[in-house]
Amino acid sequence: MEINKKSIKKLSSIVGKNFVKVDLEDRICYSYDATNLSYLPDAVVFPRTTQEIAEIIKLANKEKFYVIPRGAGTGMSGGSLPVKGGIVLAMSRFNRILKIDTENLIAVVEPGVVTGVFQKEVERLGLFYPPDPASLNFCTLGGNLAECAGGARAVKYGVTKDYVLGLEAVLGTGDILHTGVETMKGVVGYDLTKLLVGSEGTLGIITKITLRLLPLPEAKQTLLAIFDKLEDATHTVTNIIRSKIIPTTLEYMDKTAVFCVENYLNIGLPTDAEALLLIEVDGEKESVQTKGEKIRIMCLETGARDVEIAKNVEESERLWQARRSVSPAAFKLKPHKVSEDIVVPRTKLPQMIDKIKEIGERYGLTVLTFGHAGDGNIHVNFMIDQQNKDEVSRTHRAVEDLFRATLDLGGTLSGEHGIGITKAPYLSMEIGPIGIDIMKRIKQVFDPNNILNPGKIFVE
Amino acid sequence: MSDCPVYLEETQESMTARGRLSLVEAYIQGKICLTHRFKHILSKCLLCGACSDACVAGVSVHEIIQWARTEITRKQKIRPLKQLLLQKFLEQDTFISQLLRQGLRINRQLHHLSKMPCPPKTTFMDNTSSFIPESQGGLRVGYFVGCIANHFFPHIGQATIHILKDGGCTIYVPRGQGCCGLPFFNAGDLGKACSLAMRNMDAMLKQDVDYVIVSCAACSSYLKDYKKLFGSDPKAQAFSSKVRDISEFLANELSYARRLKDKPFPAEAQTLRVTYHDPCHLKKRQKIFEEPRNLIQAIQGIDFVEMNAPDRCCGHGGSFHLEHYKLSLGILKHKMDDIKETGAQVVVTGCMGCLLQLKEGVNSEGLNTKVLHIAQLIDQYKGEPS
Repeated sequence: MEINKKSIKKLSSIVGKNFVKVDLEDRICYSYDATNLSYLPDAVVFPRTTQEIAEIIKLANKEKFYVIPRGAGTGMSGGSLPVKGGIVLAMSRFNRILKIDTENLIAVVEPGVVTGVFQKEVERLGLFYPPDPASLNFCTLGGNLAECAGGARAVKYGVTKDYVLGLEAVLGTGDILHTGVETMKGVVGYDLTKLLVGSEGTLGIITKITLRLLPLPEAKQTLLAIFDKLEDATHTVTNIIRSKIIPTTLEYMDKTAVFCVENYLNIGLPTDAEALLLIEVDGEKESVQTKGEKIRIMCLETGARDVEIAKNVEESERLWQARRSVSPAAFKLKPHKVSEDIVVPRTKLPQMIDKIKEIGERYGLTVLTFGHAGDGNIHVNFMIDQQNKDEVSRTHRAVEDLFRATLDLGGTLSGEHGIGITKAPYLSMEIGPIGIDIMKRIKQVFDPNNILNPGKIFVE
Repeated sequence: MSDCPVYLEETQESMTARGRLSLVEAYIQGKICLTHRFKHILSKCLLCGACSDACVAGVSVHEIIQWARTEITRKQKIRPLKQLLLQKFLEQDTFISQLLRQGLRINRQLHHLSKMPCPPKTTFMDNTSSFIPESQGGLRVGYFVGCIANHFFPHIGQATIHILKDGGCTIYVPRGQGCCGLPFFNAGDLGKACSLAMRNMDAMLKQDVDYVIVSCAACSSYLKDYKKLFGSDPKAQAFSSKVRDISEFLANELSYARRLKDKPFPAEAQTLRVTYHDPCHLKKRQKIFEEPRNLIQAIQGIDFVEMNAPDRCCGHGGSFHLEHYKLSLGILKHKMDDIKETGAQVVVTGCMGCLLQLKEGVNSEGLNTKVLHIAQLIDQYKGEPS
């Protein structure tokens, strides 16, 4: 299904010549995402209006070429990769915040708005959009919706889908669909909004988003707890949750992660520690201090060697820098990383961590774990060298064991990265045949000619 | 990505650090050659270093882009005319340079250069002797003027001299100095960059100065990089270690902020609202951003206000401004909006490129805001020599 010259011409007439790129240089720039995998598209198209996208999709149906929507290409599961060629639909020109309604606490945005930019804008008005994926300075809201991105604050505030009220999207037929509401409630018909969120660009191309906002919390406090025993750290997590204090974030880093970050940043992290917990609480000033103190005591009671409380924004920033640097720092260990984002019920966290350790040892692999302990979402990274074929095959088996163990504990394969291509082979481990069949039939309704983002979620 | 001023205008991956690095990698792997498109993409970088600054992995992206540009220049036999003219203009004391200078004075309609300030008849060097008479004191300093101050803003050079004199320095303005070489280095012309650097080092070191003082952030950052240009050469090491940007020197070596605090604000003067723009070459390259603020805030009667994103690039980027004029103005627009929002009467900065750019912004928007170099502001308020 390679795209023909005639189609390129027609695309140019839809969006303008400057917004269709066929040079190899430009195609290379749209061949990858954060997975480090790469597939060349036939062309890159930069639409500006919903109408243009509708025309492009109609053309694609007629001329039979694939359309792969892309936000900022920061996805972790390959959702925006043109695995079968076709055109990449770069949504970067859809970058306007259309409305921030401070009376009704909602915002209407285009999908190409950068998440962090949007957050700053609403925070200027005393409002709050909580979902904070680690790439928030680059990733876009459209991409966040397509993959249902989470983030560190999910433990208290939930993930992207909890903030989406309504959508405008162009379906695989070229039809323009409006879903949802601009109100706080709404149960009219099936919830197509939630269906599109997390659909990884396989059902429709999101062109407009209505989001729910919260009031910005008055204050926050950041704590760093250091543990000499791994199980003490994981038990502290379950203790905090059990005590019915829900922190804004409750992040965990294992020994390997601490070691990598310290080697990398030299900010004085204890490299002899077995685990760190990075905890943040927010709310009204007084309540933040009380909650912070309670958590500090709880950490010490369950075996923390030391608990550091950030005195100001700079100190808290330094603590967060450690957490944010885990991903880049990990590459100092080995050149490649197979990264999974499993979730287990929070009480099963200690068992899961043990299991991960065991799997790593079983296959002789370097494993680095960190992540959102507070909601049971652990990032498991197998650090490997892809040139080493034996290591690659051991990793495949380890991943399968990891998923099996996760499901056995009542967990799920992906908390916030989506299935994309990297997890597609494992989908049937979690979703039964009836579930998959229904999903495929839904896909048929939205995109009968399989134009949109082929090769994702389902193994073909 | 969202840190790149060019990406924010162009919104294409090829204009991001990741896109450019991928292309350089593809080039090294032989997947692409030096095509027109590749060269164009590389040329559309301000080298502001915002991406390098933001990179948690510590990748020095701008240095990699620089390397690729050097590679292009090395492989390409014919020099673009613009680059050639720029080179000729920047080589001071040559006949062609004089010719171009006069041409710039006469032909004010010439391209968009007409928006640039008109160069005065004579340069700073024409009117300044190699030793400043009556300047005396403990520290021997050599003043490195730089092209833009020399050709366009000799009064900024004068202001710098006044302050250094007030600060009790023995001041030399060594002959033989010229362009710092940064435009050539940025364009990938290493040979020319090295020969200019050599000339400047010789000129300055001959006077046996304690410090080399520079009033342009781009020049000061680059002079400090001579040691990288020449590897472990001891002469370059010695030279670079003497280099100080004017705001850094005033704040640290001369403790000038204390001096300014003691100066009474002229009774007849009104409170002045001032904001400051961080030049990329000062903040991102040299980590100097507190010093200029401390100096400005030390002046009695100044109401200092921070603009939003003071360290966002103004879009000048040296020859970037000439090569991608429209884009450069698009980037400037955001800076002007941020300046306007402060309601400041004066915007202060420390780099001649930024100064040219901000002046152009103020002129084209018809604002009353004054654009001053930090040396000018301090010179105006330092009072009479004590």
